[in-house]
Amino acid sequence: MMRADAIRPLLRDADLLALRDALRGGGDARTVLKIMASGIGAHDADAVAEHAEILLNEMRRRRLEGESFEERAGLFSDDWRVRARAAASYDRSGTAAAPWAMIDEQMTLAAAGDANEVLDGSLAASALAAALRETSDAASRHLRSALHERWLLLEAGEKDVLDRWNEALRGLLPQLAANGIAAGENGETARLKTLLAACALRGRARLRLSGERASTEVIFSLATAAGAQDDEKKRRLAEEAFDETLAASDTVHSLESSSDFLRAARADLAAAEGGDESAARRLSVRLRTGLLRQHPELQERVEKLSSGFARHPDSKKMSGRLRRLHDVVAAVLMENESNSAERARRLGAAASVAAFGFFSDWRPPAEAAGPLCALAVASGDADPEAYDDDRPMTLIADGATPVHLPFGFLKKFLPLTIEAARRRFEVIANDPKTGSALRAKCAALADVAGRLARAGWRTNRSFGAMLGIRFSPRPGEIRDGMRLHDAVPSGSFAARIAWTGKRGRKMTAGALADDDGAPVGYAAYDPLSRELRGRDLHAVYTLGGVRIGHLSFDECGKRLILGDPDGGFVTAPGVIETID
Amino acid sequence: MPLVLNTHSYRDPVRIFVETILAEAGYSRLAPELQAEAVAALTTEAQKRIGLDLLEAIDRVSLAQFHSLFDGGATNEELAAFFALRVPDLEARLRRSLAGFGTECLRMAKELRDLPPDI
Repeated sequence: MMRADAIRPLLRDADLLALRDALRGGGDARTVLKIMASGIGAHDADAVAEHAEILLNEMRRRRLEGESFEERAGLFSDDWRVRARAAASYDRSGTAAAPWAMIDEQMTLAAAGDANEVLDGSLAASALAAALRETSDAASRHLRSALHERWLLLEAGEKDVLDRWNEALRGLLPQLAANGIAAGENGETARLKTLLAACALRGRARLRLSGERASTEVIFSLATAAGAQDDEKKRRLAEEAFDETLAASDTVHSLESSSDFLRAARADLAAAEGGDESAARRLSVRLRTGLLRQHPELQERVEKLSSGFARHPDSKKMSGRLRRLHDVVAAVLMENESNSAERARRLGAAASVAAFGFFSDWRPPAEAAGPLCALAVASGDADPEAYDDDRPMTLIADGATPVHLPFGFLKKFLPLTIEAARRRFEVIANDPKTGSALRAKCAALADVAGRLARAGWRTNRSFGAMLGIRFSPRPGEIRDGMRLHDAVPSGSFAARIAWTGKRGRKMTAGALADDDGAPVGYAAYDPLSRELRGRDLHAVYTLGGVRIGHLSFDECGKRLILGDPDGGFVTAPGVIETID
Repeated sequence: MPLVLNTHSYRDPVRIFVETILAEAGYSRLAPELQAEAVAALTTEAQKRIGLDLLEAIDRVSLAQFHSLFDGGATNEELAAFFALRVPDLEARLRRSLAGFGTECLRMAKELRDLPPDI
């Protein structure tokens, strides 16, 4: 793979001399790029130079208009209006104006030098390297051509083209990633940036179909064409230029039916071309009251340029003015698309908050390091009851690496208290028989759960409630010697079990779950056991409230011992009544 | 599809969703600045997709009303009330939008992963 910095040594002395002469003589970028392309043996130097010039111009623009990361970081603000502004700013940076813009972004990062140079050698070499690669491969050329053609159809509002356009884009992904690597990125970064650019491009393709941008584009092309009505030569020049840059004539037909305003403007234009002065005047009024009213900041510039047509009949100057007018049109289009994108984005942002909420009524304690967040990665609805055990889940905590676990593993922990879940994760993390990957994940979760338990989440919420997962576990079977865990089977703030014990003592019992997270009974502390027997005693009851045994404790937690302990219970009754 | 179940601390559910996408795509250990940029870019894109999908569910008058509310500094509660009235099945629509976006991202990420190391 050819890297940008490898081009210069490939040039012959004669090419270097020609290059020097071209630069000294003020040769344009296309000429210089063509010399470079010829020098390194490009098969079609003209095509390579043309493509490289597109890349180079985009790279220069991005370098000059680059935005700081801090500006983009506004996207992380809690205030969505700040985020909206940051998002708009991010869009204007041209992240993915076209597939080649994506390439340029990567190359701009890799390139060095003064952005104000007339022709930056490093940028030129980078552009040339990418252009060579993209124009030398027939399959790649075909894909790019298909992409461009389908893009034009998208502009025309042909919705069934979107899938085919996406397919062409997918075909180009390897090339975009390769360009990133050639420009100095490592493989991981190049792949990621290719992914980001592809997502952005697909979003823009969807945006095209909204029609808003295309309508304005065509209207504006009509506006600029109307400015040259008083001179046939000017009108021809204008139309030629517009055809080159906007391909507006094709889209006019497809969009005529979508806008009464446009249809009327089109009719006026046709009449004006036929010499109907009143139609030309009507068109002028329509355009000023229609499009330009929406862009008052541009109106003055457009009128100033348009008025120059009459004062400079010379075709060369006329052509120059038209090019500048195209810049204005391009600025309008870019702004219009950016605005459309931002309008769509803020609609989505507001809707997502409206649907999922800010959770302002559910805040972690101030001292909490940060609660977990659970996400399921699979198709289907949000009901965990319907989840397959294999469904991947991702747990995210502030400042911690995301942990991925199948739902079947995770669900065993959902009814447990935070502290009980932490202990279980810790046991697994320290079990040498467990695989290293699972041990690492459990260690990370134990760490997060530990922070939450210390922050006051110990008793009244379940691990599942903390994750935001609703669940309703089925009862399990109780058996001698089984391991038991503290649980909150109803989620959060579960009803404790209360009863009046011997001598009128008010007592409570906590829920217990088995290793699968299924509720099996309750445990109640026998408060007088320490006073009379010298040790703590916990009675265990079935879900029906019948005492069946007591707890023993070891390094791994609690176990059920059926039957009464030596010396019997002191205060724990034989039967309890649950009070919701 | 990644499905947001809870967003306790982040306040922005779409960002949570995007972070999961990146993690699932194998980008969980990036340099902080690159990670931040990737999350920002994909969050913006995901929000756009939601918005574009919602455009099909909201009539023009309601859409204009939304932008007017937004520009006028409407509170979160006011906007939530707007959506509750205009898009009763908002959450289902959002989940579908996010599902489509997530599937699309993960598929492209997998294709990029499957490329040879030097591409």
